[in-house]
Amino acid sequence: QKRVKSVKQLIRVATACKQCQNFNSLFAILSGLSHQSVERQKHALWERMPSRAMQKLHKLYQLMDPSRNFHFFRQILRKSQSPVIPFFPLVKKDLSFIYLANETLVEESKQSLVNWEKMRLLALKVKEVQQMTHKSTTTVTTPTTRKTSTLSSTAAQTLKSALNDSKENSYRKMWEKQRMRKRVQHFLDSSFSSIICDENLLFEKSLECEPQPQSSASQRSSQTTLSSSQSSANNTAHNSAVMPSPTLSSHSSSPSLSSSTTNSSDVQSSSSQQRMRFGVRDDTGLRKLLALSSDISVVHNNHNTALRSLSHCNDSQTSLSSSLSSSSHFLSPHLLNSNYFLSEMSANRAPIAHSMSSHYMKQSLPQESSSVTSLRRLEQLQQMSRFSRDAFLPSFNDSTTVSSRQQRPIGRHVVPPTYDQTIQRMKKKFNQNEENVV
Amino acid sequence: MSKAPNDPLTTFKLVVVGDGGVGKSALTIQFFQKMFVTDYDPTIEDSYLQHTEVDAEWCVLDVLDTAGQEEFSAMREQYMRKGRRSGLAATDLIVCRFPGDGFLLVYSVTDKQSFENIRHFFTQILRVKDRDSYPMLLAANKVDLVHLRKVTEEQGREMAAQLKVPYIETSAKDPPLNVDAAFHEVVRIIRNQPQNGDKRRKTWFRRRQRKKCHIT
Repeated sequence: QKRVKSVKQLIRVATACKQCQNFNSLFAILSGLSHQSVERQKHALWERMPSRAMQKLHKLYQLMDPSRNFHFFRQILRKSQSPVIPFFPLVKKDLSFIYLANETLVEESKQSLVNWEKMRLLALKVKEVQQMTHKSTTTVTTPTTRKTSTLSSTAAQTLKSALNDSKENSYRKMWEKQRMRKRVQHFLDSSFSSIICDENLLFEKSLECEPQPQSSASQRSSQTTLSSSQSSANNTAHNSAVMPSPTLSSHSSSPSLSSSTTNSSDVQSSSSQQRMRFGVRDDTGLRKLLALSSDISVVHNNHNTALRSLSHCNDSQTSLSSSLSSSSHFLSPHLLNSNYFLSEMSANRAPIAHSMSSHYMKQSLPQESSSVTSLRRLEQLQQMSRFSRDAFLPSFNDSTTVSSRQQRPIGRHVVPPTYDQTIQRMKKKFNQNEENVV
Repeated sequence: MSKAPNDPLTTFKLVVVGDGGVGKSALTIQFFQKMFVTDYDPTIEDSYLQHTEVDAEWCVLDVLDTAGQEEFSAMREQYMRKGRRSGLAATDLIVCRFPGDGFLLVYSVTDKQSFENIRHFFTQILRVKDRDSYPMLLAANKVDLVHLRKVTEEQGREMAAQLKVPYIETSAKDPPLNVDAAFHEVVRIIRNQPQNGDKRRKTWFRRRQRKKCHIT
């Protein structure tokens, strides 16, 4: 059945997320799959699942078991290497609890003293998250310096002759990028518009797929309470859940021009299939997938056009975020996610940015602690993301086109193999899935 | 704690739900801060575990607070269904019996909207658990702010009667009012539902058997 297939694919994507250490998306997919409208379809869906996939799923569930303060997850997080997308709600929870549970001022002999332990804890947590956004420095720094030295000798000679040529290229690339961005945005917009945010509607659709057994209370479904902002499903849950993967694979496998065409076709097909109804099984997972796809596409844009586009990408990121935040409140973690991703990528590519960020790292403690006293915790989080963006933006504005052109080839080489490999692996998986589904 | 190794204590998994800003975290912190006198580090695994004595019987409370995660509604559902899921995962089954989770529905008496939203949480929990009733406790928080009070005690009790859950008034401000009592009350409610627990376990066993059949 199609449903079983798409759920199987979602599980595969989740495992890929785990390999990429994208825990946020992993959790998102899993919580989508365990959404109650999906979960309740025992006969229609879960009993038809192959046991191996179910085992896989249970293993993943075990990872996100929230008992004992996310014991399993924290263990894995501690072991994992640097570029990690943490599970964002958990970070937020930790921060808010550190903030609330410890007094800012400690009374001691009629003098109120600042509680440094609290500040230290906060700074530690923030640093930890920041560390996750960076590549482990040992692997990055050495190749970077070497490449720059070799490159500067060769590039300096060819620079003048290549100047005119590359300028044209750059315009063209920019234009292509622009188009690409619009397409991605359009795709996201069109999919978000069809997401169902109503819990009751979801439940009804789930009932459509599999009627309620007599034992459980049917009057409950008739209670018309609107649980606001609950996780959503798509009318075209099946279609769109499968949709992102073709887009993704086309993104990653082909250069920008051809990918843009396939992309547009994907968008068209998704909109044309919107009228079909497959019930509610994929709900949140689908949206999470979309968020995931947005992450990866943004990152991939980076990948294609390397350094010069980074400032550009920052634009695209902001435009994306503006459009997304208007469409859905819930997505904010994923946006932050892409923030992390971006900062991570840029840190790899640009030595300048790297030094900037490390500079910021040194400063982080006093800044954070001062902000703690004045600002609320939410603002801190925003600040965090803003910092990561601000730290990079000026550096690119300063470094003019020439310098950035010099660095462009570096960027390609600097990308550590592990990351590329994981991306490649994902690509393969997506392609396979695509074939399977088609 | 001393008898933990050879005689595993019953672990109750309590979930605190409610709108943002109603003081859920304050309640939880107040409940746990007895252990962490100076500084409280929430990233430690045991920072939400509490050994308590309720009605002369020791038990472990694993409290799950959704504070700071109000907008992650999918997460909330995950929390709610957690008991069943971990039963399926069969990892810490030896340590924990699964008599079912208890829920603490918190609203602030200074915030009318949070009071209204309790109904949504209630229906959501019942739906996720697929039951007609579940161990829950309605807690009216911030009762110390008398002059800002917008939801009266009568309204609260009325709602509690409608939902058929007990009602309690709490305050996490110093001196705390009913904080421990609230958590203990949930434990009591859970304990007083033996037949549900049995049913649960039965269904769980059945499911497990079925699953086994599938594998072999």
